[in-house]
Amino acid sequence: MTVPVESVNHELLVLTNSFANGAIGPAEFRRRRRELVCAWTGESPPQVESAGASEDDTQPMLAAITDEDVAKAVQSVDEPQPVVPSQSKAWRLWATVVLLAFALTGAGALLWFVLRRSV
Amino acid sequence: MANWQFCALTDQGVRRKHNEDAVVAAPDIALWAVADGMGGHEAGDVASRMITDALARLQRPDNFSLFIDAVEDALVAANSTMRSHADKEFAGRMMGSTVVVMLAGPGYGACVWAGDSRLYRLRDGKLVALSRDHSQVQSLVDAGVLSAEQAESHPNANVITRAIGGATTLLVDVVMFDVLPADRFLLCSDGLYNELSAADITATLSQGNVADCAQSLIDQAVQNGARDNVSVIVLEPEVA
Repeated sequence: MTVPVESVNHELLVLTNSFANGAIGPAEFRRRRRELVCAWTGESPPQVESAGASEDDTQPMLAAITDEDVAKAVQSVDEPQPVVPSQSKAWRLWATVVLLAFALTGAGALLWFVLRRSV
Repeated sequence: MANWQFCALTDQGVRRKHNEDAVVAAPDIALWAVADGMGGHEAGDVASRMITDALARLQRPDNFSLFIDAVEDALVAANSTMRSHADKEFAGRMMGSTVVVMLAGPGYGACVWAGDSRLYRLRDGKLVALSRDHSQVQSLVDAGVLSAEQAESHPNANVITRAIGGATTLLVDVVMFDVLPADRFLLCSDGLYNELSAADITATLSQGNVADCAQSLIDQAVQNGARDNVSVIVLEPEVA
């Protein structure tokens, strides 16, 4: 802890204000805060592989998004999508067929029972 | 990581029908927090419990800076949960909570907070507030418009500018501090410092063990009329 605590706290306050004003994004804010805290505690800054829930999606390990990527994404949204039954709709259809089969079997069995006794 | 002696107490106070404060002590990860809920029964008490429950579930990472991140993540998640709960259950009525969290490492600590719950440190007989209220009055003090003495009796002294559940985006503040073996710390809700002067808090914290101090602070607040719920956590590093 060679850095005076007042100095690190002042820098933390300035950093938080920069984040609050939108001057830096969440991932940059977190990275710089970790560096400040670690510089003061004497720990090594952690290697953060993936951003937390509250950090943004901009990761240094991800390829940069180009105009071509954006164009492809827009195109894929514009293309008509095939209509496929959703999982819940398919399940409902299957259940209806099974219930219908049970009902028909039951009706047939009842008819057979009644006709057999009357004969 | 040093061991800590601590005592956490919360009291309904004299005037309030419910206790909307909540406290959490998690010595295994060296985390203590006080939350002061707002919004009335089944809103304020739920809000403060949401925060303390979220903090109590935390796992401590090896790196202290990641521990701060984890606490912030927990508070951000509680903020979202609280806002959607308020929309669903109370048709958007205010539901929120202040929070002050103390995290300890070897020879140092961090304070993470939103609102006007406070962390104090007593060192060599001097009481210093390590957190800085997120309140209208504190903003005026920072701007040089009001003195600290004027702020204490200001009619808007209880108007806060930040809280968990207060806005879609949550911003918490963090300060670091060093810890010496003879230091004593106090986390508290405004129900304490609105009833006791800084001199009374200093005198009480200077005597006895942490359990006696915590009980005495609550007792004095109640004797003074305790218009609000009162919560305190008194703690000190264990001297080997």
